[in-house]
Amino acid sequence: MQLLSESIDGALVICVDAPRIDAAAAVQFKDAMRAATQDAQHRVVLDLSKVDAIDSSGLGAIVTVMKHLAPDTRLELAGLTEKVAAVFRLTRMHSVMTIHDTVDQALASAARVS
Amino acid sequence: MPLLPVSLEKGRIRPASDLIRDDENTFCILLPPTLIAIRGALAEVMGVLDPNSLGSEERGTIELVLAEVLNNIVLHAYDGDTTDGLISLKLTLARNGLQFTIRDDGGPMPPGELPLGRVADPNKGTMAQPEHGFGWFIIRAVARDIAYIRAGGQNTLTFRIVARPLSLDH
Repeated sequence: MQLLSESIDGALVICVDAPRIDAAAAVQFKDAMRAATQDAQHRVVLDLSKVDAIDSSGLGAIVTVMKHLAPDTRLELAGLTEKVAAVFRLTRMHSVMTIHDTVDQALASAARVS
Repeated sequence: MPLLPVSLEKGRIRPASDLIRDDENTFCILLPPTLIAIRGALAEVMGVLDPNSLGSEERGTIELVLAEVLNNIVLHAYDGDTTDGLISLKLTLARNGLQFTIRDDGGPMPPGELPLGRVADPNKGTMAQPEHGFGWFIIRAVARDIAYIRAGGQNTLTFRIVARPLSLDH
């Protein structure tokens, strides 16, 4: 699975360049995320704007990554498409994770906090 | 009397694109029990649901529940990505929604009640959040009249998804 990562203002922004994070892609996603976040500091922003669909396996993989990074590094999400956002609402994951409308808003919110 | 126009014959695998339509209100597909085949099957099913009579949110929910049911079958009834097996999916339009019958020749579900599933808990910390079990929570949250039968070496799961009246786009 292709992940595009970039450090911006102290945050590691990782864009998932794939249409689906589903059961067929979940293991690849976890492996790629572990590799991409090895040098992550305080904050990882996962950009899901290119992801059209996610299922429970993909959601579970994101939780696994979030736990793997905790407590030193916080995993936040940005750019959820409507279909992906619906899955987060249905499983109440939207109340557990920090979700931003866009990567720009995610970066701006950190600026306000600091 | 099999419910499907084609009986589930072990080892007989048809690609997901091999469609069988026995009447205007029914749509059937057969797929091998692999995660990749599920993607094709979902695209086929969504392709016959008329987008003009079904909202994008409803479509997303239907696709999600089907993905969860099929993932469970491939991962648990067949233990992964074997091609030795066959899953059939039948969709029937009913007045009260979409009726699904999904049948496979994999291993049985554990005895007892169907799983409740798990869901995120905002009152608990990061490390206490579940990584598995969302699938059955989603299925139970969306589907109605869920029934499971094990008979003749086959699993049959039936359920209904409430949706506005629509037609299949054949």
